[in-house]
Amino acid sequence: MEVGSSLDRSRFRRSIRRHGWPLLLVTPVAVILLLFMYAPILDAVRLSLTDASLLRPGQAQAVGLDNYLKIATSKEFWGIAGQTILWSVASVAGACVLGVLAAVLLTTHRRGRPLRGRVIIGGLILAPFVAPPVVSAYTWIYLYSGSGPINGVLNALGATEPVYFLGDTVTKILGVALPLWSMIQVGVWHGFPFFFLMVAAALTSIPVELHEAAEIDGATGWRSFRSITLPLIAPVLEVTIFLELLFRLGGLDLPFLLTGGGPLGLTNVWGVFIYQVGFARLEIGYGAALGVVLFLICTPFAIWYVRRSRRQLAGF
Amino acid sequence: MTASMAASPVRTGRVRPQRRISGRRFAAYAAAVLLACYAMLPLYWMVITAVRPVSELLTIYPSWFPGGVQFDRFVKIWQAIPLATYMLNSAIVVLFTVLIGVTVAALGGYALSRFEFPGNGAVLALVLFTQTIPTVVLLVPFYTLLHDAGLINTRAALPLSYTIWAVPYATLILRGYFKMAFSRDLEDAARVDGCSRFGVLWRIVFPLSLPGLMSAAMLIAVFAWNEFLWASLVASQEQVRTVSVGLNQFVGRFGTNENLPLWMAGAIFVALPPIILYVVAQRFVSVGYGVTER
Repeated sequence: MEVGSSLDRSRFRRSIRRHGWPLLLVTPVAVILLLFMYAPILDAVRLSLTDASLLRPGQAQAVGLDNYLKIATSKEFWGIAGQTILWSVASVAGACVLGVLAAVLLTTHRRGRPLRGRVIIGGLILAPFVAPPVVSAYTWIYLYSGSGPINGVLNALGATEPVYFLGDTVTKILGVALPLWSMIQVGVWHGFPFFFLMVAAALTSIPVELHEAAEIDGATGWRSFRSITLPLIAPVLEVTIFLELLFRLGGLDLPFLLTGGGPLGLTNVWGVFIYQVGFARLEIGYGAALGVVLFLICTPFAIWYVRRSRRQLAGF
Repeated sequence: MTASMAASPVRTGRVRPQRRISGRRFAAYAAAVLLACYAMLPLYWMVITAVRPVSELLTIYPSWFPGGVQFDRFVKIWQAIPLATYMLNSAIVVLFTVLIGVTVAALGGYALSRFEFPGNGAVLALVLFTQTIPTVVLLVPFYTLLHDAGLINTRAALPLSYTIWAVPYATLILRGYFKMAFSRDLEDAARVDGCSRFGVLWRIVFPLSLPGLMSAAMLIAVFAWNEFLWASLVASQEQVRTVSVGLNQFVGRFGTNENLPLWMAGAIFVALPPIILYVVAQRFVSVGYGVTER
């Protein structure tokens, strides 16, 4: 035992001497992530077991699993969870389709000639990705408003009543309230440039000859896309869909600015709900519990992602 | 160019199939332009609202093309809200976030791209896993952390938090870039020639990796400039308020139709820096996204 530990120690010392430089370089990243990402998550777990409130700082009482029971039995929460899933999945799906379409259109070479003007068109397509959410959210609110330009078009097309895209509490499409659909549309608009970027980057690495060969074999359009393009972009697509889904599940800028969860909670999503509970109702403990549950739900997917990426990133 | 092509008999044989495709080429163009219009729709509306006469805004269903153009809003907005202060605050936040974030990410990314060392895989897993933590989970614990440290509404609050959020992604981008852009041989040769380890990093790796560093810097900069919700929580006071929060408060205070052009003018000024950055340095963006998977 003694011998073993001293051996371990000398091995440790030797390893420091040999690997000191990379270890030194990697220390800031590791320390920052451990102290300010992983420790706060543990802190969230601690907070979630108390009734901490910003109204009475420093007077938190341990309440066991009460906050989690509150979540499980809250009708409000389950509605929000469903809306969160729909908002995330639908906006990512729409963004994926439009983003891939844009990338294919702008990068596919036809007989060695890419689309002219693709740099400008590509730059314009990036706009939603770059514009500050405050700006895009309020402009969409204006576009959607009862006397706004979209209703102007509908009116010109013969609609008699204005459509309240973000305020209608009655109209349902496929069982989902209209404001949620309107929010999903903004999500698609906001998300598709990211898919475009990722897929375009992957597509430019596909040799032109591959498509030319397929064209000679008579495979064009949809078939060429299915049999050549899609398999080649599948890995990138997989990761992008995953990252975007997590971003939607945990993000709150757009939903918060667009509707703030209203009307009548019809567009409320998990992120906004955590904000409301933690910073409007000031129930920090309950808010932390909501965060922890979201984290736990995301963890299996995160592990899948880490494993997959490490497999791909392995090797030098 | 076309003339010389046509002159060659081999090329002329190709002309016919090209014409057949031109119909599809047109369809591809139309679809691409349509997508660009969709992407630009809110920005278009923002610009025409900023310049159109107020009278046009008081009517129901404003037209899609402004009847007149006025530019006084672009001056007035600077007096209506302390936009210059907000811009400066945001610029300071962006500057510090980028400097710290890119430095930390470049060092870590370099170590992870070049060296096999104990804990290598663990650190990589740590970085990858952080990418998948929903931001909102950190909202409450991070707020209490900053609160306990007495940092709420100080200049340090935002750069600190943004750096932490930006570092994992930037590390992955730079790690990928270092692996892809050039081989180790150059660094090994420099070492043999007596260059120090730090010298290799400073004189060879970083200068050769400018596109990658630039790409990471851009992503961090745009994120730090645009972020709204966290900024509204930890930097709400006027002397540290950033552009997004300032603009949002402006809607609350003057949210009437008469003030719409003014607000939109402000929105243009706020949206302009990231847009200009992307237009000028667009090629760096795909550099970053292209390598995260390598």
